Parts: sequence; structure tokens; C-alpha cells
Amino acid sequence: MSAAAEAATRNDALLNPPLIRAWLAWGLAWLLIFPTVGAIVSLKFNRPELLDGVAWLSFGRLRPIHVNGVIWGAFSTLFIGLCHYVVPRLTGVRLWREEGNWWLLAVWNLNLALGVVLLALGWNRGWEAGELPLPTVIVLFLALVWLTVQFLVTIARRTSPPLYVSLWYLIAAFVWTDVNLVLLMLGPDSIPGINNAAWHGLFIHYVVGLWITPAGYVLIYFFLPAAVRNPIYSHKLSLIGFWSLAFFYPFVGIHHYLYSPIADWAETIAIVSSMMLIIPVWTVLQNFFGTMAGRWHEFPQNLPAKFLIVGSVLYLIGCFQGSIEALRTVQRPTHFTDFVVGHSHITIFGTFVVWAIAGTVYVWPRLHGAPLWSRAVGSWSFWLIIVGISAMFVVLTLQGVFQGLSLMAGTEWHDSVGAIRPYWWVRTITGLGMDVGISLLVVNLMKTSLARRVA
Amino acid sequence: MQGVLPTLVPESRTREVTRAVRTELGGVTWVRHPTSDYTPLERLGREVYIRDGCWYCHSQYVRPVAGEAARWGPVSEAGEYAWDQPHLLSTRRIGPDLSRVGLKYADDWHYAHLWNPRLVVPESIMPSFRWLFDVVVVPVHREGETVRLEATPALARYFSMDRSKPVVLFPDESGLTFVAPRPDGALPIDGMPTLDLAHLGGRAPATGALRLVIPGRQTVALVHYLQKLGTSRGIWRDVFEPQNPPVTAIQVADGQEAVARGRAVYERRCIGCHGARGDGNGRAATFLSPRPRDFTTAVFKFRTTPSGTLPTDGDLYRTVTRGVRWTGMPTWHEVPEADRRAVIAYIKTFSPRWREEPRPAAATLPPPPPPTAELLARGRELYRSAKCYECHGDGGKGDGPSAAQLRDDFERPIRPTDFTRGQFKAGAGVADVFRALTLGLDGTPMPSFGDALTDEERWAIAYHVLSLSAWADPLTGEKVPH
Repeated sequence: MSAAAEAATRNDALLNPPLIRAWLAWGLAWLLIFPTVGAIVSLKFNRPELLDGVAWLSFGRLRPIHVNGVIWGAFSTLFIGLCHYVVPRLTGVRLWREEGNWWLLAVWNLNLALGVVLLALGWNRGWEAGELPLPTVIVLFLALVWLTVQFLVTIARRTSPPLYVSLWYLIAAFVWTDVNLVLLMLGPDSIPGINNAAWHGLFIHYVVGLWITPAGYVLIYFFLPAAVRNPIYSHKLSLIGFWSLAFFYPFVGIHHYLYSPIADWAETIAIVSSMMLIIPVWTVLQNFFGTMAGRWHEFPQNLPAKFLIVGSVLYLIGCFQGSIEALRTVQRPTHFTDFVVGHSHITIFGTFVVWAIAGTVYVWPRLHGAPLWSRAVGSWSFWLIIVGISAMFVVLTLQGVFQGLSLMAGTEWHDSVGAIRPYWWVRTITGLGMDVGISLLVVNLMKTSLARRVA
Repeated sequence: MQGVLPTLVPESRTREVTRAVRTELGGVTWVRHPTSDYTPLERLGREVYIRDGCWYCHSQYVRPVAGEAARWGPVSEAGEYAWDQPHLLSTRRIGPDLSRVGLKYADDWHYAHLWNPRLVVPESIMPSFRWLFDVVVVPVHREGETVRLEATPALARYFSMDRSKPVVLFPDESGLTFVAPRPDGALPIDGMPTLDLAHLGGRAPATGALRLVIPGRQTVALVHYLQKLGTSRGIWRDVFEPQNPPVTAIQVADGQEAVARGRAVYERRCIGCHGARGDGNGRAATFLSPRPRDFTTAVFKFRTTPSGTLPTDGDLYRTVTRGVRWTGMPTWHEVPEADRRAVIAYIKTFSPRWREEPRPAAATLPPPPPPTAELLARGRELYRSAKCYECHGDGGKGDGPSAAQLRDDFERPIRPTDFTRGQFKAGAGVADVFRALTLGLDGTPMPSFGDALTDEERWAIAYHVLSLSAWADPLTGEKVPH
């Protein structure tokens, strides 16, 4: 199938460049803000007196802003913006009722901003990665339902029957996440006892597995073939990847609470399905690397492809870690440590945010009909972001193993914390490096716009 | 899908847990027992715990692996979470697990720790929760020999200013002064704030004004919630081996090397309360009641040695290891044994008594007789005739007629132990109670009854004292139905 590679150069008239640009610009703005909140918070691990004693600047208030902000602000805004580009290209029709999405963008951003303010004020629903106050979850839900309908109608009106793999994942991501947000609206306050944790495990991994993962696949399945002008390697692998994801992901959530009073057999099912996730991960990766065949010589000059392929390498590492992390033997030392934090950073940022960046870097210059302002600055942001996230991952993972093993050996609690404090400095430095990389990227894209206007 | 399946299992919806209870005869046994819902105040505290994100760094489940059952306490059971909505299991431990923190510390330790964690744990990385406290700056004036707080309108908002009920405050050198809240967290606090400056040599802090730190209602609620955690498992602590070291005759090496190591341990773990000079004037001391032990006097409550003498090394080791229940002194069982030994060598450098006085041998106490109904009945009688009730109260609640006036040897108010909660500072075995009766608790109004009562009489009282907490909830003192 070469739909993406072909589609990439057709249907220009169906796009709405100002609208896409607005969504992407806001996505970039959130991308500047929310990871930085994480970097600031990480400083407190070594300098607890920094910004101390003020409620809205405390760790407990800023952490959910960082997590929800990266998921719904940085990643999702870029993703939805890129959908505005991908869907008309693949369907051959304009987005159904696309003008409404100017309003949607305003509502989306105000809702995010409101969520941040309320989280800072302490409105927290107590579900990790689902802390957003209920009114903002409802708005989020309605926004996603609107997009679901809009994309489904658009896809139904498509000009040719075949449905490219990006669109399967797009439909799946939106439909699954609409349902998952219903769980978030009801779950925290209406399921008592240990089952509340079982459901929460489900929710939190649905966010990752049924929103961020398929959303990321939408992007790479479109932008990788488009960027390297090659057809996708194997249609059959796409099928295996999609259905194995759909089949195994719903069962993994409880691996967040192994060895808890949740039934052992339920934990075992979660472990087995977590291992089975190797199937979708490795098949899609084979598809991505295969798509590069014959184009590797262009790779150094192709910034979107660099982000996509390196993001895929990090995905291979992060997901392999994720699967073995679900094993009881591995959890004994590593659960509750930064090993897990390392995993969530390499996957959410190292893979999915990086893929979203790739899509943005691909789309932005094309919207302006101008090349990227500076290839050198682009390289700098690429290396700062990639070296930053990779080093952060290595350090957090190692440190998690060290602390876990030392606690298993009976080390006193504070002794175990004191030993890992130097590593936390590395995390802060790498995080700041990533921030600089993102800032350079944004400067680069702004300059691209300006250069076009001058010309 | 996978959320549905475990929910279908009835065990996941149980409200029962295994609970350690004391029996009438003084033993400890495990029973299946339903857990109780949170009180409105505890529920409010739980909301604060969620709001301020305590759960991002503190997990609430003890796993059956990785040595956790020896570190935190009994492995978690489903019934413990029956009233939790949302759950707060958490996925990360940047700080310790809290599912067994209830009754590990007294409330006042939590207030010090929430105000500024580094007061009590110098290397802590926890945030300071200042916004949970009211701060009132009040000028002080010297009137003859006494230093008084100016009765500002702000002060009158927080206190009833009833002169017949003095509320004793212990400012620190910087003027920071903790005010213990009412148990329900409401205002005003009933009484007149008065200053005790003995620990500052009678001088008011040079600032000319004191900064009163008063926990708000939400803070009181939060501490109530923390104290509730794990107490549905009853008096598990009394059968938790790591916290219940036996009486031993260990000798601590007190060479220079041990003292240096002990000093390092002390400066990391003890200095916040006991102070750099070992005089009990650490940075957190203003918060704590009873105030931290002053090592310069070398007066110790919990000994196996005769009244008025120095304790053995084993006595100090036992106190350090098990902590002192219902006070700011936590259990230190996690700290390496060599560190615990070394710190004792260092503590002994604070008072010349350790060099000048002979080391008495531990008193040899007889083995306990088996408990019988007759012995218990005898104990109940003796509890009255030996006037235990005067301080500890008829029902053992620590509310006897003279309880309010009690002062320790340092002229500070001291409260008699409430036996009905079963939180025994010197140990929860019948031999521990017998030892306290026999040898007394130095520095406190608790005398030695070694001469006044026979061995048999003291055993009888000891069993009676234990029976007062039979089937009691350690948090509320209320009897659990059985």
C-alpha cells in the first residue's frame, strides 16, 4: 500500500492551512510549557527548599499539571492539529464542518488553561493521570466526541473505498478514548474499595494504550511514508499490529498494582497481556524500519524521518522495558521506583511526543510553502531532545534498579533515598536540555513562517 | 473488561481484615473483623491528602515481597480499602509507604513534619505544607520575672483567654512557637496562652515577638486521617517482631570510632528533636509534647535498672529500636543495628553521669505467673487500693483526679498513660508493665512500687492494666464487638 506516500502530494486544496497552523501553534505553546513544569518540579528533589511552602508551587500540585499537560496539552493538541492535515489528504474530502474547529480550538485551550488553574488550586480527583477536575473532563469528552463524529463523517464521505491504516488507528483512538473518558467521569467517585484501583489501572493504561499509542501510530503511519516517499512496508503487518493491540491492551492495566490485594489471577492476566504487547510493538516497528528500505541514504537530511525513526528506536527500548516491567520478578525491586518513571518518559515523550514533533516539522514548512528556516538549528533541537530523553531514561532506569535492589537488601529508607539523589541532578539537566531543544525547534518554525511572509 | 472481572470476585468487596487484638488475659490474637468507615474529620483529612498530592510520593500498600512485611508491617488486605473512594494505592514511593503509619508518631510530630519536614528529618525532601497552618505574630513583654504574650485581638481570635486554663507554649530561640490545636481542630482553643521559657534560660527570644504556628482544621483532619491508616489491623505493632526487641544485656562499644559513627547517625536522625547539644532543644522541639528527652541529665524512663540509676545499654537500644508510642519518638528498627548501637555510644557523651557513676546491673525479675480470672480480679482491686486510678483514672483512660496537675521532674506538664488504647511506651508484654511498676519511670511522677507491693500484687495489677485494652481499637480506645 502506498496510500500515504501518494496522498502526501495530493488534495492540497482540501486543507485548511490557517486552521492547522493554529492548532499546531497552540500545541507547540503547550509543548514549551508542560515539560518545563516537569523540569522545575524535578529540581525540588535535590533542592526541596526551592519554591517551598507555597501551595500552588508545591510538588503535589505541579505534578498533575505536568502529567495531564503533556498528555492533553502538548501531545494531544499537536495530534489533533495533525489530524486536520492527515484526514483530508487520505479521504480526498474536506473535513466535515471544519470551520467549527476554530471554536473547538478556543474551547480546547480554555479548558486546558482552566484545568491547570484548578489543579494548581488543588482540585484533584485522586486518579493518577486522571486528576483533571470533572467539569474539564466533561468538556474534554465533548470535544473528543465532536472530533469523533467529525472524522467519522469525513471518512464515510471518502472518495475511494480503501481505508489506510492511519485511519483505522484514528477511528480506534477516538472511539476508545470517548469510552475511557466516561470511565474517568464515573470511576473515581463511584467504585469503592480495592476495585477502585483495578479500574484505575485500567483507565491509566487506556490513556496510554488506547489514546496516545494509536494516535502516535496515526502519525507515523502517515508521515514516515510521506517523508521518505516510500510505500508502507507490509499491509499484513499493519493488520496484525492493529488487531493485537486491540486484543491485548484492554487487559494490561492491573500491572500497575501487582502484589496488591487485587486478585492474583487478574494480575497474572495483566502480566501475560503485557508480554503479548511485544507482538503489536514489534510488528509496527518492523513496518516502520521496512518502510525506510532504500531511503537510508537520505536519512541524515530528512529531519521528520530522523525524529520518526529515532522515536521508533526509543519505542522498541521503552516497550521492551514496559513488557518485562510487568513481570513479578522485575517488579519486586523496580515497582515504586524511578524505573517506572523512566519508562513513562521514554515512551510518552521519547516516542509519542517525538513523533508528534516529527509530524509538525513535516507539515509546518509545507503549509507555508517554504523550507525549514535552518537545517542546523533543526539538527541541534533533534540532538538536544534525543540525547536528553535517552540520558534521562538511562539514568532513571538504573537508579530505579539500584534503589529497588538496595531496599530489597534491607537498606534503611533514607539511606536508599540519599544514594540516588545525584542521579536526580542528571534528570534535571537532561530535562532542561530537552526544553532548550524544543525552544530551538519553535524558534526554527517561527522563523520559517516569518521568512515566508517577508518573501 | 479486565476491570469488570476482579470486581466480580466477592473477596474484592470484603470489609473484613485480620486484626490483632489483645485478649482479656493479656495475650494478642488475630481475628477476622470488619473495618470501620472514616469519621467526617478523617474524611476531610483524606480530601486534603488527595488535594495536596501526598499520594504521589507515598504509597498505601504493603507487598508480600521485597522484605516489605519486615519494613512497614503486615501485608495489605482487600478489606482495608473498603471505605476508599478513590483508592490511594499510588505507584511511586518518593517517601515511605504510609499504610502502616497510624500511631507510629504522635500527632505533634506530624504537625512539626508538615510545617517543615526538615525540622524532624534533616535530609527530608518532602515539601513544607505551610499553607495548612495559621501564623500569628504576637509581641512579648517582660513583667517582672515573667514574660507574657500581648493580648492582641489576633490572639483573642485563637484563644478563649480563660485565665484558669493555662495553655503552656514552648517558643524556640527564633520565636517560633507551636500551639497544639483542639482535637476537633475548631477555634478558639480553650485557655490562656502562657510561656514556658525554662529551656531558653528564662529569656524571651530576641525577636521581641513570637510567631505562633497553629494547625488549621484541615491540618488536624489530615493528621487524624494519617493516624487512622493501618489501625484497622489492630495492635499489629505489638506482634511485629522488628519493633519488639527483647530485653537484652548488650554492651555498646564506646571507643572513639563508635562515638564518631554515632555522632554521624545522631546528626542525621536525632538532632531535629534532641538538638545539637543533646538537651532536647532541637528545632522541632517547640512542637513536641512531651518535649524530647534531655540527654544532658541522663534521666531515662525505660530501664531494667533500679529507680534513679542509669539504664543499661540494652535498655537504650530497646527504646531506640521500638520507639516510644504516643510520642514524637518513632521506631528506628529499619536503621542498621550497628548505627543504633553507635548512636547510644554518642548519646552517652552528653552527660558526665556516664563517666562518674557506676553501671548498675539489670534487676532480675521473676517470670510471669499464668493469667487467671482470680489474678485479674485481684488486680482490679489492687488498682484501686494502690491508688493507680488517681492518675490513670478508674477506667484507665489516664483521666484520674490528679492527672491534670501532674508535672515531671523538669516541671513540665505530663499526662498519665491511657491504658485503654493499649499503646504502652515501655512494651506491651505483661513483663513490661510489671517492670514499670517495679522500677518506676525516672523523671516522671510514676514511682517504683517494688517495695510497696509484692511481686504477686504487681503481676495482678499488670494483668489488669493489660486487660483494660482488651478488644480495644488502638486509635479510639473503643471496644470492638466480638
